[in-house]
Amino acid sequence: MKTRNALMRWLAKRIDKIIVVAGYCVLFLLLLTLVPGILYQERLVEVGIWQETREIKNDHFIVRYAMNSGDNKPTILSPSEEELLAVDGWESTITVDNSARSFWDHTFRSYATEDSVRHNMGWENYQLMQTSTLCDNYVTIGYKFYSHENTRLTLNLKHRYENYSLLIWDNVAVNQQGAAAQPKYRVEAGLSFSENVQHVWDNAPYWVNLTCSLDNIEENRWYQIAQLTVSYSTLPQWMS
Amino acid sequence: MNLNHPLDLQTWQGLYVDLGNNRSPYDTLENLTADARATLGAGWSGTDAYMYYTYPPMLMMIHYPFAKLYALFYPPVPLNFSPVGVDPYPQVPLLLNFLFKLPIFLADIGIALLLYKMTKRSEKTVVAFLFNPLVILVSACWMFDSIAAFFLLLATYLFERKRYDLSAVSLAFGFLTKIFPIFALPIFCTEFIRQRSWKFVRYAFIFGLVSALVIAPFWSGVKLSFEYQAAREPSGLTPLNFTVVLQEAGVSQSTLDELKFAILPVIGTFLLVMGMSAIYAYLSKKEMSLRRKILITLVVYFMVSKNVHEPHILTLIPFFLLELHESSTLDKRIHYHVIWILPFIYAAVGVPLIRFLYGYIDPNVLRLFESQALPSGIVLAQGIVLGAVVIMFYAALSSLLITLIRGKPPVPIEALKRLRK
Repeated sequence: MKTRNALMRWLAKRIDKIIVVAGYCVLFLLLLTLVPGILYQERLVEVGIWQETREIKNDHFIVRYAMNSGDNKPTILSPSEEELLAVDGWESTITVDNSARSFWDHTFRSYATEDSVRHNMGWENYQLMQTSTLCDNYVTIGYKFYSHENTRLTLNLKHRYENYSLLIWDNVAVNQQGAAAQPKYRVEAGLSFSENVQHVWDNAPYWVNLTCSLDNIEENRWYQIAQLTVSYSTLPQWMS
Repeated sequence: MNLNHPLDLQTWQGLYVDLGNNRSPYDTLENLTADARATLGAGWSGTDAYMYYTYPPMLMMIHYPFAKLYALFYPPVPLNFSPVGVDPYPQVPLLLNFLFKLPIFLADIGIALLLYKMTKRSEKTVVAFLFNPLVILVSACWMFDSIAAFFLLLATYLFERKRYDLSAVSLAFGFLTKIFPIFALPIFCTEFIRQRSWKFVRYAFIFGLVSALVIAPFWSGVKLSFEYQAAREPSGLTPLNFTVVLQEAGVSQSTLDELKFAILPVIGTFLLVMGMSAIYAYLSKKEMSLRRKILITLVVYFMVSKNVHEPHILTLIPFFLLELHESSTLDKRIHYHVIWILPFIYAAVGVPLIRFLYGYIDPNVLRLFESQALPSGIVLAQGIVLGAVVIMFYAALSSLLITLIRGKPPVPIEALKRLRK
């Protein structure tokens, strides 16, 4: 008890000095956060598992993104919880009709989080963003478009899956409902492949062509163009 | 009821839709932030998060039942947030306005009741608070600072009544609503130490425990919110908000971005730590009422904070009114009026005031009042007025600080009564 009281007397007597010293300690720690390698943390998110390649053609350019799923790989389990398949990654390609524009005028920005990646390309008055999100056993890929002013643009968006042949297109949802609500905004989509599972096993490439035109954009906002969901098939009987 | 700040209303609307869908607004914040970080060339892309729900969790917990009620009448719709750097003009039903503002109005009434009790039934003080134009502007049209101010005032009241545990819980609720009440924690703790009591350990523990229990389930979102608040560019009524002048002077955008998003936030953090440490050290041994100590702490906080927005000043008002009730002088009365009038003018010119009426005016008309749409001469005049207000406000805070520190300690009311007897 005596010690406790003595300690309190000491504390009460020197509390102002203790606060000043504590303040200096916090300042010192803050200073350390500015020194790389000590408490400083790079704010950039790891993007190493994503790869980006660009190809320039006469009338269009292609940006190809590939992802290695790493530790987040979705797995397909049998009813007995035995692992049947782990998806190592996927590849996605955006082809932009570029007949009237120079590839070199485009700027790109990518941002990856733990389970999603955003690829954005911009050219003067438009931006096109692709967002891919990895879920437990499916991937969603969304496209949205932003323009500062009235823009007419035709995009050919293509996805190609050949190495990961157990991927099938489960659903392609295009914002047709939104188009009805906004008549100045037109989207068309089509699938250039048949949903033939046997075809998938042939490792043939699959393409989704998405064509959209946007007219008379008046609002400063992102337009959701399409949302694609890619899920994984279970193994066919002949393989199991 | 349909008066709002357009940008903040987008957040309240999103909050109600998220909660109606049983979705955490922090998830939406993380998603919007990733979008913002991937966006090219927009004004806010240099910040650490999209300006959505960047507050501690208490507000969403208060509004959860209201949002579920709202969802019964208006099923949640897909959200469409404005791109970074673009002003939104969401149109919302009157019910959302009513439900969102209900807790704010209740908090204002709570502050009035506490002032009534803490001033021994001074109706004048209650009227001065409830009819203060800045309080009306902030609570009726803008922000929820009243709720945080209520919890801070309640913590002070309970502390004075020696209900320390409840005081710690109330202070934690204040911090969990808006961050700034945490800066009062050292004042409460040093009050114990000054009285040579170990109760500060229990007080700090209860505060920490309540805060941790509420924050833990939402840690990643709260962390992102705090990162955003720490890294956001200096703005509002602070001298650190001088990059606007440099922009007018033709300084390049990349230099401005370096200043706004890298250099000034660091300087701001250092200033905050130095300023608050100095005032805590100074007040730790001073004999003066707790209310005045908290008023001084808030004044210093607004002097060293890099983001001093007009609604924040609301918190000063009840503590200032308590000070005026205890020892009113002409000097203090002038300071009181200057302290609320200047933020009011800043909002009226900077937002500007007409944009609060957007629930009643066509957004296309209001877009004419956005700074990018105004003629350069008007923007320049607007900048000069805002700059002058910032300088005057800082001078007023400095002068008020000197007045409060030099002023004689107020005579405790009980001692005054004894003297009269």
